[in-house]
Amino acid sequence: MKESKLKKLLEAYKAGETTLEEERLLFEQAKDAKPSWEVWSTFVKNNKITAPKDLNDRLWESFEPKTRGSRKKVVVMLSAAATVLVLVALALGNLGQKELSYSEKEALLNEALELFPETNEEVTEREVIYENEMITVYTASE
Amino acid sequence: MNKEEFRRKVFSLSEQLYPMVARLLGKNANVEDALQEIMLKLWVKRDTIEQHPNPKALVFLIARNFCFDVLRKKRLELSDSTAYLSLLKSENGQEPMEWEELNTIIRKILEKVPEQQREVLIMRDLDGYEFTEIAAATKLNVPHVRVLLSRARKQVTVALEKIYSYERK
Repeated sequence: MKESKLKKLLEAYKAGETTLEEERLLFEQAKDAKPSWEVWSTFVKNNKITAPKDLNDRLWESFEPKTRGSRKKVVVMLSAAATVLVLVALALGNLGQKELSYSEKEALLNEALELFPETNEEVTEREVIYENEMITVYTASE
Repeated sequence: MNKEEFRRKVFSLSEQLYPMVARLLGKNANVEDALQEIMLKLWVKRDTIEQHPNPKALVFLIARNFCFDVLRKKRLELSDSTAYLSLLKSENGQEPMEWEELNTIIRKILEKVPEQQREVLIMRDLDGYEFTEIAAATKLNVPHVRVLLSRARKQVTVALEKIYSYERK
């Protein structure tokens, strides 16, 4: 590289106006420049960190199963959530049914009671054999 | 974003992220494991990345933040580019004595460069990142990155010229 071009590029480098390609050229041509530049480019070369060969492909091989795993996990989580939902729904449904059957029973009982109007006014004497909240068993003489 | 697109647009950046992650996490870190974890985070956020106006920038930012989180968890004293300096080699195998001296000199020079400028300088000159990538990782804009880089380069050049022009005489 011509000295004038090198000088120009170095000025642009210091101003932060060079491209990566120009910088690569500058570091390669270090021996033609000032010793301070040679020192800097040696330092840069020796401290470069480059990714190991085929890193992308190698990493992908071990990474790819994890993406499948996460999808499986999502499916498992979703089905677990769905199961819980179904169980809760069933439990609520059962509770509702129980309440309904109690009220139905009450209604039926009332209906049954209405079938026995109090027509036994004529009864004079009653001897109670058994009595609870719902039933009274007695003997009577007319 | 499906798996193939993720591999092409995001995962393929692993090699590019490698130097930054290696420098930030330091000598004893397993860089490949860290990259795997970063990629898993990105995989979870793949839909957000796809809708982002600059997906590559977001990838760089997430990777850099991941490294700082790891360092914070390790309770290491953290000052951005001090971590960045930690992976400078101490010898090159060929001329160990000479190299050691040169390395020590430049380390001292770099330590005097303000942190942000130093990080930008190392990302550009040592790791070869584009301005847009540096801007994304450091949350700065490109002109600001150029200014920081220029200041750092000038400071290093002046310091080196002082030492090595004296040596020549």
